[in-house]
Amino acid sequence: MAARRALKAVLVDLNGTLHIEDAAVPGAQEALKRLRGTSVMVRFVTNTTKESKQDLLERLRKLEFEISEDEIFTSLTAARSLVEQKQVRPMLLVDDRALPDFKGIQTNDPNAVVIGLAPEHFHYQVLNQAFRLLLDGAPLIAIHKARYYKRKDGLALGPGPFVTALEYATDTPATVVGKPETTFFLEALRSTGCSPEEAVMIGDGNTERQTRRKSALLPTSLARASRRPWITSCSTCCEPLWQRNREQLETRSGWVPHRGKIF
Amino acid sequence: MAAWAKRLAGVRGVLLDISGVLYDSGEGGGTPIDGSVEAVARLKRSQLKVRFCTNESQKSRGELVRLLRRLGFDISEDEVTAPAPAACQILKERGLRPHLLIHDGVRPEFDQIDTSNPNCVVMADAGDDFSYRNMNQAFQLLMELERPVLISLGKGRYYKETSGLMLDVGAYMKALEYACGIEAEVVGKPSPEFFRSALQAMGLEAHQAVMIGDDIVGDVGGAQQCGMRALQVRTGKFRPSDEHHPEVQADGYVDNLAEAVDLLLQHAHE
Repeated sequence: MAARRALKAVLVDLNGTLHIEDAAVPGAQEALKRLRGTSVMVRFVTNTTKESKQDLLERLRKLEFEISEDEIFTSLTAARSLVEQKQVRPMLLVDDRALPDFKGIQTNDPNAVVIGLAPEHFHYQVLNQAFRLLLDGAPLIAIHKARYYKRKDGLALGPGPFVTALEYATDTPATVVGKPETTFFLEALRSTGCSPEEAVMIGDGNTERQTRRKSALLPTSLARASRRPWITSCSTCCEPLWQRNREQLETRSGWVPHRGKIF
Repeated sequence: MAAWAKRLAGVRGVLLDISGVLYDSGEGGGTPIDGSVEAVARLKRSQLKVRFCTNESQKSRGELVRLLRRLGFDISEDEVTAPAPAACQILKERGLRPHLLIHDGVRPEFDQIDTSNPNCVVMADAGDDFSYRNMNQAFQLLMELERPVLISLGKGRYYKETSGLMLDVGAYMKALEYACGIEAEVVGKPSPEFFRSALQAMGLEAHQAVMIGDDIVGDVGGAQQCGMRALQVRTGKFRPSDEHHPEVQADGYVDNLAEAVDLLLQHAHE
């Protein structure tokens, strides 16, 4: 008989689940309030390379969601977390708007490289600086490896190609920290003190679909050829959990996931 | 010493890499590596055939040779095998009109090439011209082509300048390959065609030639794959870990070109 584990933490995807752009998903505010009435810990997760937690918080509060800053976990948070764990001083090749999320992190005399979507930094001189650090043994942390994104004037190179360039030049792989990498989810859970078996992820299936389609598009998800082991095990052990607790969860929170998909 | 005699027996010609073997590029053109000017002179005076086999793609052959002669080297344009001319040959054969992702210094090599209405991208060591904007332009073009063709002059990871190590064309080639989901065609070392054309120009068979380079994979590995022997110098981009490369074992490791030439003149007999 399968061991019964209590559901202790819920990770909620932001874009597509709680809100779509600047509009709340109908019923989501109410659902969240009711979820709060339970004992589960909640974390709001999202991939972003240029919105700081403050920016997200403001947007969500405007939509009347009751959320505190330390409940938000972004790919930038994941990067910061890794930097703190490794106790390194990063060269930050990230959008200026992401800098607040690295406040308090030492960046003088860097011995690590953090790279996000930051076209203004992807010039030869800057990348060469990063390259020399990496060749000396500095770790390379990539927020994600998107191949390109859509701009008004057409497609534009994402961080992925430049991460690849540095990986090739130094013959060392980057640590990618954004969704749907395993690292991302484990880091998001770390602050709840819960294990993956005690948690469930509520998302709109965007990541799942894009994972299967090997899409290269931003803004919310990464392209991966195969599902990360964590997601699989979470969904296989949490599927039954979810089915069992679904009623409970639905009754308590009235939560109906956007598009009805859970993974 | 017997080991060297054995290793270098039958060598009748030498292929010399330029950057990292003859000189390091950089401020004011660059600095010759100690002993290299004299080494080249000695080789020229010997019975051995000499050819220069370079992946230099920031400068035209003319500019490169003028620079090296200023530094004291005995070298002329017709002794140099370089990737741009080889690429032009390919473009003409296949009716390709390139969008050029290059440094202005090498543009003269493409003067005879039709670059209107491009149907491919040719990339070289563009150095500072590897701006985000220029990379993006090349990327957008490739994405619009029904059959994207990306030709890269070399695929080196990095090279040495006097100020330090510099990202090379290979890194940017990988960037575009990843972005577009395509594979580039490499013209230059370590492509076998490139080495063979150098051998042909010397009128030698592979087993009669030895390559001297600073790139353990591009120069040494590439040459060995063609049936040549190859010596690794400890100048230029060389790093100590290169002596324990998991895949490539050079036929010999020497401090610099001067030492290589000493050994060649002692042990390579006709």
